[in-house]
Amino acid sequence: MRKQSIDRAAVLLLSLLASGASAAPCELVRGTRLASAPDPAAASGMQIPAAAPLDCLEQAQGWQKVRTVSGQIGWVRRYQVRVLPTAIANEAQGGFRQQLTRLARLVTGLFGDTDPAQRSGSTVTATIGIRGLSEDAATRLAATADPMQLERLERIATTPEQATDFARDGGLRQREIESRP
Amino acid sequence: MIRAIAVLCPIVLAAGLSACVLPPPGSPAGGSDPQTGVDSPAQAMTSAAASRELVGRLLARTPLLEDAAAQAYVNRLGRWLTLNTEQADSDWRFGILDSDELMVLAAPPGTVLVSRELLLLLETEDEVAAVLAQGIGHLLAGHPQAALDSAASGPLPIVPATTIGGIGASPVERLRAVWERGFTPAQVFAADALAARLLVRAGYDAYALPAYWSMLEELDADDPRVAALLAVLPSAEQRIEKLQALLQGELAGYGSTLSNQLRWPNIRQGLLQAAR
Repeated sequence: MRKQSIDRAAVLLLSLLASGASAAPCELVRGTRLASAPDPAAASGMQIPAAAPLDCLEQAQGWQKVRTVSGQIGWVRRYQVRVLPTAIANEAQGGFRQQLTRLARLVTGLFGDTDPAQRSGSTVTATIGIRGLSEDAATRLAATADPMQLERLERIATTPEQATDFARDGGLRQREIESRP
Repeated sequence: MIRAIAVLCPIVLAAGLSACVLPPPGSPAGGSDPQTGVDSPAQAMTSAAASRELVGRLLARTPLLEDAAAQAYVNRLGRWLTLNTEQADSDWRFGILDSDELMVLAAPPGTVLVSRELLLLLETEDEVAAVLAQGIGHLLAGHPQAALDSAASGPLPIVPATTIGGIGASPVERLRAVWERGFTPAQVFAADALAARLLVRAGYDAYALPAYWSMLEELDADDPRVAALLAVLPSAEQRIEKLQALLQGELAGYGSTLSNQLRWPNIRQGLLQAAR
């Protein structure tokens, strides 16, 4: 199984390096299976890992037709693909380092746990249910508040300094984007 | 091992609890309009206390998870997000509920609670950030005030105003009534946009929002209770449609800057052990 994944990664590596430019580059946001048609009931095909580079072809009713680096063509939900800006895409196509970065993400995806059905501990199964809202309202609230829990909520709150350290530790970088339109 | 759980709509619930009054900073004293029942700032202060009461009653049934590392993680992540808002100096509280259900709760003035089980469904720190950002987005947008005003001045679609949440009802009861009604689609879309901007400002990937929504759509759609849920909420399709222009326009090209990819899986592993 692992060898197959390595072989597949190798094929993708060759394809990636050989293919160079793509007309409408995009990438998969989250691992999913290619559908044979823009229809939830359509047969699903190969599993595509998160961050897989794709060519975005045409759109139809909330679906995006894509081509993988290995030439497979199919459909995914439109919100599952990130359209790469042209400038970034051009840089990615021309930059070997970018290619390797994307390849690394791709290989990580291949070896990673990207299938939702296989996620350890996942409870996304046919047994899932959702409670009715009225039932929730009737059962969720106790008659009185728990002061100890409220106090604990205060106690676990963090300081701005701790939050900033957290961001630094994660390598998070602020960007200059308007907070409102 | 497959384990059956009770799932509660995270969005509706978020809409619910966050549908409480968000008192503006530095509000002066005042009263409630006798004609409309709409709160003046002083009444809003009362409702803020009612919001705390409501959270306390919720926590009495569903306590905070006993996992100091996970609670610290969520608090620091959430607080980092809020440091990138115009209300960076406000008091913000985040917590993980020890619950097998799926829920996110946002209560004014700045409390966001998320269930352990919902967190377990998330694969990346960007997705955790997306969940918290949505709760923060509703609070930042001031939707609670609008929802409460609406509940006070008109009939409630789910619970009759004569029994709960009508004019003259206590703030707690009115807030609880709004809890059951939730937000309008327009408010959900607005909070989504704020959340997307917030994620990018804080260094995260705004595409984690649609990734999260798509994950929710993987839930069993044949379950009649899921169908009921979809009937009262905008679909993921509609939400991404509304967000598409922003994602592909102003926010295009901003992926995640997160370099430490291991800390969320490590926290998640601890949550898994707590769930077993």
